[in-house]
Amino acid sequence: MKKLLTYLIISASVFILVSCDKPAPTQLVDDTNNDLEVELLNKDLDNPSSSGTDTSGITQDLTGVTNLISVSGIKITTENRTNEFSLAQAMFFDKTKPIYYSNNKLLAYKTIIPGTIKFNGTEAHIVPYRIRYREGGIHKDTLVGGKYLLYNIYNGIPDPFYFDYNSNVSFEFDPFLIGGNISFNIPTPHEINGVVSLSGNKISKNLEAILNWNAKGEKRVLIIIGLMRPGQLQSIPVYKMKTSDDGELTIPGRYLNQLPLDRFEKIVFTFVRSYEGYRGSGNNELFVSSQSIHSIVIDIP
Amino acid sequence: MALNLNILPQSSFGLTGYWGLQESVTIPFYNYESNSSNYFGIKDWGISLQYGAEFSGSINSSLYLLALAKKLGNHSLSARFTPGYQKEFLFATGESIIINDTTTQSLKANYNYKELFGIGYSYKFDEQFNAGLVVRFFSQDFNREIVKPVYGDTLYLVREAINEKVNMWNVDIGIDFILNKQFQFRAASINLVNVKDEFTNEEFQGFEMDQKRGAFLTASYMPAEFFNFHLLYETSNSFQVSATGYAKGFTYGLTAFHDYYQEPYIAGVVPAVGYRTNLFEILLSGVKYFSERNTDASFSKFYEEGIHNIINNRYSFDKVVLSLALNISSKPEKQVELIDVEIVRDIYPTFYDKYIDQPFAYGRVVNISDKPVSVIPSVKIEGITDDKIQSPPQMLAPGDTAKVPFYLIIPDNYVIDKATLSYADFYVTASSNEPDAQLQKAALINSINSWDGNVANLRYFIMRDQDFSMNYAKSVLSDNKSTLDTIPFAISAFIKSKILFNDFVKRLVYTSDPRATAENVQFPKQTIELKGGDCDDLSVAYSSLLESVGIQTALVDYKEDGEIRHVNVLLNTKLSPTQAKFITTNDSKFFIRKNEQGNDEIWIPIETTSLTDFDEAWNVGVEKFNREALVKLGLATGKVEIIDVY
Repeated sequence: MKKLLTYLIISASVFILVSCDKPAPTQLVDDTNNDLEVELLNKDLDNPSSSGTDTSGITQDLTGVTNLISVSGIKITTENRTNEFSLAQAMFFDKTKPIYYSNNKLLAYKTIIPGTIKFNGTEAHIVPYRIRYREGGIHKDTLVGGKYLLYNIYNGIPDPFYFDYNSNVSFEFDPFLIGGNISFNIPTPHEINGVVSLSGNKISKNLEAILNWNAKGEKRVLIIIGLMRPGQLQSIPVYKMKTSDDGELTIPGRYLNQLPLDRFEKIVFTFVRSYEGYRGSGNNELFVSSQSIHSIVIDIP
Repeated sequence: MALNLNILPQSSFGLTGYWGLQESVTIPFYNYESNSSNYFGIKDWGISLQYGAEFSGSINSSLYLLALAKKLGNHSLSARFTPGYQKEFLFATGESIIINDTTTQSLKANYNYKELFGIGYSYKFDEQFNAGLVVRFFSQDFNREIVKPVYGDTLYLVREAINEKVNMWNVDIGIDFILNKQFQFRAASINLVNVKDEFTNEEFQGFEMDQKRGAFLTASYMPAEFFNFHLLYETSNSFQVSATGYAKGFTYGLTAFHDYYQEPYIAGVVPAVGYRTNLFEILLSGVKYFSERNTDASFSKFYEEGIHNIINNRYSFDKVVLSLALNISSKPEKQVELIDVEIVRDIYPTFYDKYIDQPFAYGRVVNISDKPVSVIPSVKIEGITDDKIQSPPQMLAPGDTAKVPFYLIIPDNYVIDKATLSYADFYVTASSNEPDAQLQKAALINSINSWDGNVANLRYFIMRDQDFSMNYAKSVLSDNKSTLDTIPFAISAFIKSKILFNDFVKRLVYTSDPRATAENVQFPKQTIELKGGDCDDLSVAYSSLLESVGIQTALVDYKEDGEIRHVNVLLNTKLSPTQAKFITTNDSKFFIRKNEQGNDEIWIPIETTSLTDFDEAWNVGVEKFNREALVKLGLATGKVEIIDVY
């Protein structure tokens, strides 16, 4: 009996040790909308690339876009002063004329000027379109063609283009060659108004930013964090963050404190609420975008 | 992300259900969750193991518990290792990173809450009260991926895993009150004391276990061994009700629990069935939840409400648990039980050897084994004996109840000035050195001058100061050497008695006992030093003096003298009836008794309270003796008794 008991205990112990697992985990499905998608926009902060990003805060990778029509209502807050202006632009790419980096990676396509374009009845100007990039440690600048542009800095100057929020911007295209006119309305998003609470300081590396905005909760908003050097007006976009339009985002401190902030004077938080859609197909496909943009420029404490 | 989760350490839920203080099982007592008072019914060593499977779509088997318990007298110690007491949560942090402009990678996290081990201690104050505490160690492992910018020549975003382990100690106390076999109660704390590590990483703050304090109360109604009913109520407004029982080796239990933090109202049941012998127990239990359980759950609900127990929460799965326990005892099985003890005699320390022959207490002992046993009763009285005084063994047939005597030996040098209430510990031992059962009773220990009124017991007072009496008597006789040298040897005992009495009466007066100490008797030395005494003091003193010089004496117990008993002395002159004329010509002044050889000897009664002189005391003694013992037939009727001192 004693022997049998001993064998039973040893067998049970071996069985238990061999077959032991741990209790089943529970997979929690994120239904909180507290998501945060982070993309690095510029690796080299000394020689930033403008590829895919313009200084107004509009960030688009245009290599996959056939043609682009974009209208923006833009606000820039510096200290307690907010300047508002409107921007409309259009670019038509010739997909037969790609521009490559030296390693054969696609940089962009040459643009074409196929006709005249009007936004809200005002004809857009044609201006040169340049892309600035860095390759092999060397700063490069390339002209890819022309683009259509209207901008209203103050009270219809220089162009009488006004961007109405939560409304429409009319678009008209009159081709030089064959084909009929194209016209449609571009829906515009609700205006976005951001507030930034920046605490800590760069010396202690304990900066933390709490961002608030007027939530609409429908789609996601874009937050772009950029830096400005002393004495410069243009910001270098660093991060592009997408999050739900719930009105609040706490930027984890590590995103700010790992940056070489001692070289920069100001930090720019840009809130973007946008509408994006496609019209047409094939080579006539239009990527249509309208955006409400609010950039807040703050001295780095 | 700062959260305020309520992830709490274990509350009162156990994987085998709630069994109250039912001693026919030991496995449920390893559940510290409902046994904060560390109550154990084991006799010596106990080992337990709980192994089970969880049904979460797939089957995960786990070793839930390994435990050890040890009983040391009234102390109980236990320790347990609980590798299966853990709950892990996996989730996406909500953060994602875009790599190479196109690929989005989501970051993940896993948080694991564990109870790793615990220790328990309890003390059984008596058969009704047990109190104890358990200390448990919890560990919280937090792991998550983060996006971290790294800046060298250029800026990069990298995925990095960060982790933190936060440990926590939890102390809870409990007290058990066993009113009787039918009604038993327990009160215990929940999360009374929590000592935990500080967080160093803010990423995990808010996800730690909470310290919400509470308590639980239990009540058991146990009308019969095969049916017991228990109720456990937690201050969180959760409760458990259970029915348990034991019959012919089989055990069963069914616990239904309402968890304030779970749906539906009765969140689940814990059925259990087992079998036990004296050596081992086996118990198969299960946890069945009445709500649907999935491996996927809402993060927002977890975010808002957390969990309130590691092994029993809204994310727990149905389980089957097999529990094994060994009850190892280096002590032999209890064979006899001491039901009751009756103290039949007060303790008079002067009667030092009286209780060797006459038991001062009787105990009722039952043989609870299935074979005949030899029971050794023993007793230890605080203040009198340092060791147990054993009484002769008694044989008991299986199932028999017997009345066993408890004898006592009092050290002859034991001195106690006034009566004291002490405690007597009664033991019955069957087959080993350790008693099978014991009982404690209050016992009155009288002072050394106390007397029970039995004249026969006055001899203990006579014998106590033998050295003093001998020295005193020899000194008196030595002073009368010239007289003694001239008398015939035949009357030397008579003359010595006379000399001693006449010296004796010169020093003494008759004084009755103080009212409050009517049954007090002085030792001879005390009587002579105090220069007086009553009839028993004077008789004791005179008898002691005579005995110390070899003159045989007896005490005459006049049991009825009005309402007061009386004692005087009868002394042996060693004269034969034909020699009586040497001391008296009046044949009514002596009494003839046969000695051990069958020869007649002349005895004369001396009234020791007649403190004039020997002749007068003799006359008074004779007069009383003849009247009470002979004329009134006192000796024949037993109203007068002659008690030899030796």
